[in-house]
Amino acid sequence: MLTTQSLSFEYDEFNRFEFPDLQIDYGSDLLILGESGIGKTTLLHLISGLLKPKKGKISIDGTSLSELSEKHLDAFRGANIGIVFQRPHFIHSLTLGENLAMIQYMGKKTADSLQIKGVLESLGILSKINFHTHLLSQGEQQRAAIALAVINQPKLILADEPTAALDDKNCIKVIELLKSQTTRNRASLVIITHDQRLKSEFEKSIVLQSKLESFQSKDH
Amino acid sequence: MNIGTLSLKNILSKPLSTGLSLVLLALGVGIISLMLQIDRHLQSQMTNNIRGIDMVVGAKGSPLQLILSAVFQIDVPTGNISLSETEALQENRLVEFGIPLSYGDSYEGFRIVGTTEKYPELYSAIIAEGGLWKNSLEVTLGSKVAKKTGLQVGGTFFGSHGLSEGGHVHEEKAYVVTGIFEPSGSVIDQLILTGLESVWDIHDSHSAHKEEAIDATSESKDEREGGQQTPHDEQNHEEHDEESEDHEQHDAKKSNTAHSKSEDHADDSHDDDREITAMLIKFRNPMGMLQLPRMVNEKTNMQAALPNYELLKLFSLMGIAVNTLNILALAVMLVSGLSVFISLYLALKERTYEMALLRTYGATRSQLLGMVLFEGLIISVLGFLLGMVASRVGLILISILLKSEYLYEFSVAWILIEEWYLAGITLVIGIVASLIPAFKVFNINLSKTLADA
Repeated sequence: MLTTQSLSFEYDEFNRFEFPDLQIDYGSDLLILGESGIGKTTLLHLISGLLKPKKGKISIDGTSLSELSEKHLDAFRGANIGIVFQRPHFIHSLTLGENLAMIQYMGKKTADSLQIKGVLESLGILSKINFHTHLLSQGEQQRAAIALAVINQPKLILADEPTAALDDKNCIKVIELLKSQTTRNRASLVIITHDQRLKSEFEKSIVLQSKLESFQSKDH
Repeated sequence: MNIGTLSLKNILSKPLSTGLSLVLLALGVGIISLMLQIDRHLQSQMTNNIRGIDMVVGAKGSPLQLILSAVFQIDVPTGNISLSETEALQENRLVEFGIPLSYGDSYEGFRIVGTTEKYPELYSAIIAEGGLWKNSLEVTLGSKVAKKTGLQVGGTFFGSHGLSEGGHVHEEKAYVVTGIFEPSGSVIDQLILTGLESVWDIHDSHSAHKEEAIDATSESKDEREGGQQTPHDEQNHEEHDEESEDHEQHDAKKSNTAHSKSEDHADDSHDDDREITAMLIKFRNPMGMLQLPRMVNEKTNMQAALPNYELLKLFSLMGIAVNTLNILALAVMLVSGLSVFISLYLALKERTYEMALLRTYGATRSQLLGMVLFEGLIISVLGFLLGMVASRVGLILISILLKSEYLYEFSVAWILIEEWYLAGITLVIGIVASLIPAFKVFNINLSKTLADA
C-alpha cells in the first residue's frame, strides 16, 4: 500500500531530516512515534504529497508521488488520502454536511448524501449535519474532523497527533473511532504522534530517531 | 456543492463587509448611471424641441429665459412684443418663416398657446381626431393634455389666467375643442394650441371686464396695472414673477381697448397695436445667423436669442455639475473596490488554513483562484445590478417630480451604451480588487500553513 525508500528532507542546512523506510500493507495500521521537532509533521506532509522530498521515493497504491504533476498530486491526494489534523479545521461558511459535500466535490467523487449520512451516523454526529462547524463542541469537532478524512473512502488515512489535546478517556475513544472508520473503509491507517499512550493500541509501531547529529558529522 | 456555491456561501457568511462593498458599489454605479440618463434625456429632449428654430424673438430680458419659455414652454415669458414689428421682421429676405406665439393662459396647468398652423407643422404633429382650430376660441389639444384632462373633440373649457393652476378663470368665453394631436414626443404634447385671435379675444373682453371692476373698487390696482403701459417700463418686469408677467398680456390689450372702452371694443382690427409673446424664426441661409440677431438686438425694442447657442451654454453649465458628480461617484466606486479588496484580503488571512485544507482534500490551485476571483465578481455584478435598479428608481422618482412640476415627461431608456462601459468598469474593479488575494491563494505554502495552525 504505502512504501517509502530512503526519504530525506531539508528546510535549510540546520534542519535536515532523514526518515526510515516504511512499508504498510493494505488494511493495516502503523503508529509512528517521535519527540517534538523530530520531523513527524514533515514526514506526514511528505507522505501526503504536501511537501516534496529532497531525496527518496514515496509510493502509494502503486503510484509514485514524485512522478505526479502538482495538479495531479492534488487530485490524487483528494481521491486517495484522508488527513486528520491535530486541531480540527473546517470551511467556516459551510455547515457540517456542506463541508463533507464540498470534500466529495474536491475529491472528484459524485455527490452522495447517503454516504455523508452514513459516515456521520457511524461517528454519532448525524444530528449535527445542518450545524455550522463552529457551533459544534470540541469532541464533536474532533469526530467531524475524522468524518472529513474518511468521507471520500481514501485508501490511506493519515492522522497527525489526533490525541495530543485529549484526556485518556477521549484519547481511547478517538483511536477506536479512527480504527473503526479505517476498517469500515478498508483503508490503511498511519498515526504520527508523540503520545506514548497509543503504543499499546497498535501492533506495529516505529520510533523516529534524530538523525541531525549524524548528518552534521557526515558534512564536516 | 461546487466552487461557485462555496464562493456564494463565503460571501453570505460575512454579510456586513459584503453589504458595505455592495452599498458603496451600488451608490457609485447608481449616481453615474442616473447622471448619464438625465444628461442624455435632457439633451435629446431639448434638441428635439429646437427642431428648425434658428432664432427666437421676444421682449428684452434673459435670452435663456426667452428660449425656455418660447421653445420649451417651461419658463415664464419675458414680456410682450409688437406684432407689427415681428411682421416687419418676417418680411426680411433672410427669414424663411416666422411663427408667432402668444401665451399667458392655461387650463389645468397646460399652457394655451395662440399661434398659426405653422407651429404644429414645425413639429410634424399629426391630427389624431377632429381637425385644427379654424375660428377664434377653437383649440386643438396636445396628446398629453387630452389624456390628462379627459377633454374630447367638441368639449368646452374655460381658460384660467396665468401659467399655473389656480389663476383667475375667464368665465366669459369658453374654448371649444376641435381636434386632438397624436403624441409627437415634442413640446406640442403638453400644449393647447389655438389661433392668435383667441388669445386676443379672450383678453380684450377680460381686460375690459376687469377695468370696470377696478374703476369701481380699488385705485391702487389700477395704478399698478397702469404703470406697465409703456414699453420702456416692461423691461422692469422681467423678473420671474408670473403674476406681473401675465398681466402684461392683457395690460397691453388694455392700451388697445382703452380708447374704445365705451364702444364695447367693437373695433378689433387694430392690428398695428396687436402684441404677441414671442416669435420663432427660421433663417433662409446662414447669413441670417450673422445679421439678424444683431439687427434685432440693436435696432428694435425686441431681443433675439439663439436656441442652439443658449442650450450649449446651459449644457456646459450643467456639464460642470454632472462631471463633478461623476468624478465623486467614480471615487465612491473605487472606495468600494478597496472595500472589496480589504474584505477579501482579511477574510483570506482568516481563511488561509481553510484554503490549505481544501487543497489537501484535492482542490487545485486554479479552483481556489477561481473561487476568490468569483467572490469579487459576484460582488461587483450584484453591486452593478443594484446600482442600475437604484438609478432606475431614481429616474422614475425624478420623472414623477418633473411631471407634476413642469408637466414634462421623462421616458426611461432601457440601457445606454455608456452604461455598458460602466458595467465593464465595475467588473474590472471587482477583478482587480480580488486579484491580489487570489494571487496569495495561488502561492499558498500548504505544508507551512498546515504546520503553523
